[in-house]
Amino acid sequence: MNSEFLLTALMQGMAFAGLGFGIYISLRIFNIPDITTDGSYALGGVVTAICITSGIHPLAAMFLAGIAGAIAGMCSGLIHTKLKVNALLAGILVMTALYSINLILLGRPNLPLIDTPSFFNLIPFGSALSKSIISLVLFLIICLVTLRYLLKSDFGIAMRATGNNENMVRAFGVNVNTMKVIGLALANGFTALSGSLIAQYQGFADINMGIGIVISGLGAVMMGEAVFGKIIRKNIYIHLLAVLCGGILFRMAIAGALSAGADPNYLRLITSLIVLLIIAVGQLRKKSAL
Amino acid sequence: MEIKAVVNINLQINSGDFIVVVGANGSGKSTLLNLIAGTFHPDQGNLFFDKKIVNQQQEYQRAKSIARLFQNPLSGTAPELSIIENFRLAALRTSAKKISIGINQEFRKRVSDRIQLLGMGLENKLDHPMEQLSGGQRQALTLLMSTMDECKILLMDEPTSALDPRSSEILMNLAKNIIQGKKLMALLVTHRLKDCIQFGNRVLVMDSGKIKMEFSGAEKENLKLETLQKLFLE
Repeated sequence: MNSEFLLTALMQGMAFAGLGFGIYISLRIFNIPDITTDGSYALGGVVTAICITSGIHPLAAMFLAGIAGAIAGMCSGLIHTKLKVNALLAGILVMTALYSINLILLGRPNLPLIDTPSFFNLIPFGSALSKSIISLVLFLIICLVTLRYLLKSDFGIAMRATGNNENMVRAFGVNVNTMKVIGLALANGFTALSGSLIAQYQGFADINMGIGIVISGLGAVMMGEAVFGKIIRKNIYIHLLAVLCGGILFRMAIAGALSAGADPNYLRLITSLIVLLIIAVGQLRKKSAL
Repeated sequence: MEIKAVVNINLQINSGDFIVVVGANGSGKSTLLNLIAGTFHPDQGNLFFDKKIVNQQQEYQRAKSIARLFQNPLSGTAPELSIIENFRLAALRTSAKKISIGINQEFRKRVSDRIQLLGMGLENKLDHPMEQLSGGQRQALTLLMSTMDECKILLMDEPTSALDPRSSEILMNLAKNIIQGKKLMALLVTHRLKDCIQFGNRVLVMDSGKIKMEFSGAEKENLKLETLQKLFLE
């Protein structure tokens, strides 16, 4: 694998970090299998593209993309908690609706972002590559610090306890329904940020960009847990870093498979197989530890 | 066919009461406790807290006045969170959970001092996840957690049924001390007749969803195990 592939994988991995954090929040913290992801990811890209082509600053566009994703997550959360619909189904309902909403917003199947201001161009000095990397690293640092603070705060403890023992937190004055809605809003906000970054990275937003993307988020979380092992339990920072590194390694694994000559038509199958492999390794590890 | 878990209950719990509710399986004693806690809502009739009707109030809203011990000793704590994090949540039972870091040195000392009283050495394991502890330890911690914030009544749903005799004794002695020390109202649901003799100032015997008999005052103090046993064999 040549260094260009590696670099691309690294950058993509970092841009996908939001997706990893989003799945981490919904799946690991709240124990909710949330498929709104496919929809909110594309929504993030779509909102960003519309804003940037309308002259809005990339950072403001990203902020709006995050809000849009959060609203999508809130809808899933409300359908799940108020209408007592199964979480998976609630996610599917919103994801399906978002497909049309994204099309209506974009007005066309895809929107190019050529010669437009971009998150990756914000830093006034350096080469295109170093600008991108510095921006991404700064973005990631902000995400990590914010998430860690949130999860360690009193609110964060209540959030984590909600996903861990719902009956117990009720007895401690936590409104479980409100927590779940907030959790899904947060998760999908992060996912949308990822969609926003990728749209700017690849130079266009299209309504199909989210299809099947949830597996990449799952892959990131699981790869991180498989590689880091038990030490993720010690510390929230470590778990978050594991998700980030997992995402990067996951992208590298896919890039590796492609550069080894795999047919790009089989990309989704390869992705699935890699996640399956990660899960299998994890299960075998558990068995041998017994 | 409809089964009524609890029927025509008229119960007043006064300040200083420690009520032991005893009955066979299916007698409705747990349902009664859950009605007070807010897990279930009454189909008919009214439930008052300090003269305010709370019929439809959700469990998390009633948590302001209520501390609970569950039958499953693992139910009262979050397994993946550490001891100190569980206690932090407990300390916030009646207040808002804000986006600010609440666990500081002062809080850790407060929790450590309290846990030390258990004599289990757990004060050195504050950052260990709850799931590493035994059922007995977790139930004892759940009980201690109830003292981290204000509460008016302690509801205990067969708290020792899954514990060994020694852990049971430690737990109930601790409960008794806490109830007396903090002047709490308490409700203990149990299927063990000897709990009626050992604890409380009132005994309710439940059968088929109804309060079959009540003992209070001098009658309760002089209550003999044989009396209760006869009652159950009728």
